[in-house]
Amino acid sequence: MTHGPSTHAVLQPLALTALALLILNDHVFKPAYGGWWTGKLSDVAGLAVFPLLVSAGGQLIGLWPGGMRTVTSIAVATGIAFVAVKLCTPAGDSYRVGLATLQWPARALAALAHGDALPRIGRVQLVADASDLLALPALLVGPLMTARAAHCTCAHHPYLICR
Amino acid sequence: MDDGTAVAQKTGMRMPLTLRHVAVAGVVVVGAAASIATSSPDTLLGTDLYLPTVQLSETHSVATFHLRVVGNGIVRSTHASLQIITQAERPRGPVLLSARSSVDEDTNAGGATIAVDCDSLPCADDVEVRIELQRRPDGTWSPPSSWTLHANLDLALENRRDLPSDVSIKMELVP
Repeated sequence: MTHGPSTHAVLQPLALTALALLILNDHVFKPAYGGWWTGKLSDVAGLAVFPLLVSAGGQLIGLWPGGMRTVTSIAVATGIAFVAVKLCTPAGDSYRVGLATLQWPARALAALAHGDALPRIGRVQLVADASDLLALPALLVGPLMTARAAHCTCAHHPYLICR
Repeated sequence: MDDGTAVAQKTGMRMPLTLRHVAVAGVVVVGAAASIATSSPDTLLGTDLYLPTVQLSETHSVATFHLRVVGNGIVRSTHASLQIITQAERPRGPVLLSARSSVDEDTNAGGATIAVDCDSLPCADDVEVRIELQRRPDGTWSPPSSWTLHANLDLALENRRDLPSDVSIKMELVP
């Protein structure tokens, strides 16, 4: 693994909090208090942390250096995909089938463990609401945290490797 | 001493590099799983039906079935798909299977999948299923064989986590 800033940034409290919030919101808040705000919260937390996760994952396996340019490119691509999924029906359908396909192995294993028949791939839920685009500024979090990690000082951030 | 440890010592980093690798990998894996699991699947309601076994031969090479699909309840956004697959005793010859609803049709050798007119509940649609024994590539007919068709109907309730108690689907063979 190289020492690019995205692997530093992804361990910062803000990124970890966004990830924890995403998980809590999807699996606790939405089932219990599902409403417009839980939908927005998932979008904000997801958009904040997703570019960092992809960049750090790629950096971990040597795909890219994980610097500002990488994170910014991933954030831009994520934003374009997010807008398409929310506003364009074919893109939304592709997302629904694609994510369901990724979920299928886990659901199939669970069905086999319970002795049930293999489930159909189906589609995941998607609320196509244009007001979700209000969450787009959260995409700035990844590049900003990466820039901060790149210029940090060890005295202030003892858990980061500084260059 | 490896490069990572040297960097860590020079920079005064407190978390060992190997631990940091593991931490980053852990966060990435958890993040990937969270991203994949961020949306729940649509609630699915299914039913299936085995159609009566038919014997297909050169003289009786075609069998046709009519199905009636009925969905009950009141739900605005649904999606229904019907999958037909064949089961035969050996030896089995080549067959062509086709299914047609009021909104979709599919013809295939091994199975057919079609959408059924059920974009909201309540709904009803008629489906015609046809199986036809084909000649072999060399132009001869295979020996008579028994075929059973399995119809599997899935109704997806879009963007719903729960299954309303009044929702049901039914599929029956129409004489």
